[in-house]
Amino acid sequence: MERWVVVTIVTAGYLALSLLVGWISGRKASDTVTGYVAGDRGFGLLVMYFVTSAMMFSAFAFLGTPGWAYSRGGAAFYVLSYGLLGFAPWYFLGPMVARVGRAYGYVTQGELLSGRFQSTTLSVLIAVVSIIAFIPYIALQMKGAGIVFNAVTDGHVPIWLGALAAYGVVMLYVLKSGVLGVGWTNTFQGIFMLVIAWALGLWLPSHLYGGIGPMFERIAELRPELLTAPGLDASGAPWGWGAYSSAIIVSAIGVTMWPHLFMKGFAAKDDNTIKLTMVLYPTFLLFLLPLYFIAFAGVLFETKPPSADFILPHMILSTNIAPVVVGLFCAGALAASMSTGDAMLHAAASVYVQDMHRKVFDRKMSDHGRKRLIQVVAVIVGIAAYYIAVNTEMSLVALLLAAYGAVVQLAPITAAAFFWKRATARGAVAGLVLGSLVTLFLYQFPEYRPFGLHEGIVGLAVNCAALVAVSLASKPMAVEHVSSFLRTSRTET
Amino acid sequence: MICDQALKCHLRQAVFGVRCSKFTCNIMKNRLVPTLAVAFYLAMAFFVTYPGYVPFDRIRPFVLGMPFAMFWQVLWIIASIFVLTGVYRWEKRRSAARRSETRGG
Repeated sequence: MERWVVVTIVTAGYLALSLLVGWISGRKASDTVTGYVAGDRGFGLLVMYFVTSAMMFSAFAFLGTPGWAYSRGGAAFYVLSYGLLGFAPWYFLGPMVARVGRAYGYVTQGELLSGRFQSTTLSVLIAVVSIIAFIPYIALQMKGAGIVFNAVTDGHVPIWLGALAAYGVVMLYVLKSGVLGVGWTNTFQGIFMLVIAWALGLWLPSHLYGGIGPMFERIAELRPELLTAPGLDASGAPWGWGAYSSAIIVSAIGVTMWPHLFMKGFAAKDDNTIKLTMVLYPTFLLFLLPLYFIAFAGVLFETKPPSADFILPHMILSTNIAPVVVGLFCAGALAASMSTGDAMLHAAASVYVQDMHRKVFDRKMSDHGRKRLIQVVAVIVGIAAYYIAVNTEMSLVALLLAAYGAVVQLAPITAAAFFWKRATARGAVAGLVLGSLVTLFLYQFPEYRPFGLHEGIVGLAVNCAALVAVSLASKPMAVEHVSSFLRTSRTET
Repeated sequence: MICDQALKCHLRQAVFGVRCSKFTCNIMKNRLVPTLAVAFYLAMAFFVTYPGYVPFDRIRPFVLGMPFAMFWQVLWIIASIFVLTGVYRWEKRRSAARRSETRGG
């Protein structure tokens, strides 16, 4: 049998299994918004662990991290640092989010913040920012899936078909099972990715160099500049410490502000589940190590991939490996893409309905009606992202980064919601808007960045200043409302 | 005595020469472990960015086959597991103690 046929069969088998897991996992969920968006607040430790970590571990991590380590060396260590620093606060914040969620019935980040600040404007702003950030991100994940599928089948499966197959499956289980489908498929996909990553991460270095140690010894002789931080920048020149350090800080502050991650706080069964997830979460970062080994194995590889992100498929296709293994690799890459894409698709639809549609267009919508509408919107978002993924050649990364800049700006408002009584709606809106605009401006005009710092850091500083100044200048919020919110967040259950 | 943690208060006075206030007492009694955890992550933020990372950002010695700069990252990840496990167990013990207190009283 030809290689591409075997690869396609293995990958199709993986897709069928994903569909099966996703389809049956939702059968116990209640037919409500809480059931569909927050899994009836019943996620246990296993699912929480994989939901949190597999979402981090997107197509970007599976292909992008090796690409970074391959082309930029130690610059890629920043992923390990911010992954750890970013999630640590969630140990303390996550249970607070879950408590107010249970008490007030919140299932999205926008609901929580607009509930605390009693502001529809804030809710709509958050919804708009989230959706602008999500659609290009989902499109990127789809494109990633299509490209990998296309490469490993030697071009026999076109990009549009690969993306359609992977995301057709995603769409089916998201529609049927909601967040439970996302959670359980992420668990299956997460375990699958880990096995593939470790198998390849240990096998490639030993096959090519006789082990991980000997491989790094060789690199230390020939390309020592790749083995230490801050590594190289995108053009191959040495990267600055300022940029490296501020990238870590901004990413660490921003990572848990992604709505699809934040929302999973509402799905946890109890406080202990969130805390234990965070205790165990660093183990997942250790699981990322083989991706670095793979990337460094590519540094001295005799041929070069078409682009840095392709180092992993490139090595696999040119080392004469068994076709079944190539198929498993392809399935692993699809798993990475799908475990992020499904959560985003589901979150984008939920955020639109809960934070925007319900508050602006139809205030009297029934719970059941909203659940139905979320499903409809998920289909629309999926089609829009698919259209962008297949039809546009322009780089989506710019749009994505711009939107991510705005997502990071939610951090000071979230902190103020829980820790600063005097914070007001006007302060929150002012901080979010000004912080995002400054970030966007410095992203477009890098020459104005002070000391080469990451644009997000400057945005955060402006955001905090505006939040404090405008809050103090505006009328304080009703004391009873704020105190009961804060008390709820601190009462252990 | 403001503080019921008499021993810790005396220790504090002996070591730092500072008398116990209500504020410091509260930290010693209820927030010491979480405060140490926060301190750990602040220290980490310092030691994995500029300038704290610089002395450890080196290729040799190799540890477990990895360059030292990479092993340094792994070390913080493993330390973090221990720190949060510590906080988790401390919180468990404290809430168990509180429960038995309310039941007894």
